[in-house]
Amino acid sequence: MAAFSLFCIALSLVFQFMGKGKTAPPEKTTEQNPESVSWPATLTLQGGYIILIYVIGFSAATLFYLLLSPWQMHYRRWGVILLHGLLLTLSVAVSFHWLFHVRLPKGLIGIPW
Amino acid sequence: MWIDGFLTALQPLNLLYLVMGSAIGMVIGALPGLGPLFGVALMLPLTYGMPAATAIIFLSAVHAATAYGDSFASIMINTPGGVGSVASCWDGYPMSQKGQAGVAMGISTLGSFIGGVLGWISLVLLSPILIWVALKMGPSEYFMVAFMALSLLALASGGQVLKGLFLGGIGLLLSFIGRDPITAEPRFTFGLDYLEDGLPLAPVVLGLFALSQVLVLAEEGGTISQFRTIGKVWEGFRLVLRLPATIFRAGVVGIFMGVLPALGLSSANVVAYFVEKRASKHPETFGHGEPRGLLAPEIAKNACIVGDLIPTFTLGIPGSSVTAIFLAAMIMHGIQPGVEFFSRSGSLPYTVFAGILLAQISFFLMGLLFARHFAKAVLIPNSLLVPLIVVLSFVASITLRGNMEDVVLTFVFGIVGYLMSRYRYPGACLVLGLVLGDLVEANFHRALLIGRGSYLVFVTHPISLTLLILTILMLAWPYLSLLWKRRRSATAR
Repeated sequence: MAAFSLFCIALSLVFQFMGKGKTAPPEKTTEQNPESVSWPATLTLQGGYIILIYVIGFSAATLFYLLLSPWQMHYRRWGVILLHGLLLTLSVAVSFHWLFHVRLPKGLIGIPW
Repeated sequence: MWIDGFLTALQPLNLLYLVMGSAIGMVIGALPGLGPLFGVALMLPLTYGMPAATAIIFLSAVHAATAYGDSFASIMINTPGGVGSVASCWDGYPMSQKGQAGVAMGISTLGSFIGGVLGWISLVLLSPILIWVALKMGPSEYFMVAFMALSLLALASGGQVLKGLFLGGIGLLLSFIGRDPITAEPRFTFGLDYLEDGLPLAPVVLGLFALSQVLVLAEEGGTISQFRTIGKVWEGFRLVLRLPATIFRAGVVGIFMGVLPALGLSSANVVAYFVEKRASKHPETFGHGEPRGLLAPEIAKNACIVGDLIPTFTLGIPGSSVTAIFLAAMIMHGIQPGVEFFSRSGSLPYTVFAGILLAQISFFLMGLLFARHFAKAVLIPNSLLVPLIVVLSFVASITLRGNMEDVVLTFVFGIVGYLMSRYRYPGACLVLGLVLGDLVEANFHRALLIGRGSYLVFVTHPISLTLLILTILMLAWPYLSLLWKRRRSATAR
């Protein structure tokens, strides 16, 4: 089975290199929107969020990420950002920790939820 | 008996739990990554104090509504609500982008309801025949069914056959990670304990579709819908009623996949999508907001989850993890599944069946009330939606196994998914390989063991041989039809 899948991959690569299956150029991103953010920047913030979960626990990291991410995307209505961040963190923590009994990562600090 | 069953199911207490189950199911389903398995498992302890019929009715309502709610996230934010609604993203989301989120929700609501009713009819009327077919299926037949589904790879590639083949192969390879299904020896794990159980499907799918979509949404800015409209839910209903052939095809796929143990929700929606695409005269419209591309997986998904209950009730054999929980609930409440369930339980089976039908009606009515409001999610600015999707995807990844490594896996597949969409590699092929790989491999080896190493085992069993011939015909059909057309035009001249 593994050989069969390797055969599929090899076959496609052979044809690709023979020029029969030309790789399409990367799809153009949509026209520049003032709120748009490049994908490496979004990805870096997500990576930082995962590391923060390990360090300060899920809920604190989530609140931090929810406040930072809209700001990164050039959203500047601070009231909405704060409300969105607080409400979402609270609802996720309450529903998953207390209602669904999911063990959310405590982090190195040891916040239980 | 039927009247007794319906009268018991319609008692106020049962109706209350029915509505509660539907509401809870819809909310759990709408959360990315959390499907019927999570919903039913979570609600099982709540049924301890309930009467037997009420407990099964409550779980049926959660089961049906979670499957329906799964599609919300797929349609609105291109994030599969669960492994059973991956294919709903492919045409549901483009419809939302085109300002037709309401129409897409209408298709999903009525499609899921019709699928559930078709599954219920098969549960009531066709159980004996379907069980007879299911019992005739051995490893060689299962292998051929999965092989037939794999032959859809070329179609899944959307005209980019080589890329599709490449990703299908990668998907198959990824599905082989973990323990060998026959010898249980770990392979392709690079010495990592985490990989010994194989790659978990839900975090991979969340990464491929949800996180990659986040990167796209962040790049685009603005809102998902390019228009400030969402269309009308009723329009979706009208579209569904105009597509009886799609309903029939997807219903058959869903019921068939549901009845056969191990072929479940994750494959039913994907296979129904590609079967519909193959049947279409305009396959090029799929992936660009084609209503049939959304209707087919919606019908198959809900037909499958009810069809899944057939072997559970009639033989006491759970076809999937969700129905295993149903089986546990039945035993917990003193109900013996199998033949005795029908012969010694009085009107209870009819109450349960009536409850399953009422569960479909219940989520449909709730969908009618709330679908339009859910559809408005496409008008929320991406700058608020992006962090919401990320948080829900990560928490869903943690929830499934309580494993932080699953979040890292989601993140990694998010990058893979984004690069695939950027360079126009069809992600559907990777999912098809990943979903079917387990089934193909395990049944291939089992069949060979039964045939003592002889490949003839695949052609000496009548059902297996028929499936093989059908697969070859499916693969050769484009060339045969081309040949036939050329011949006809030559004779016309």
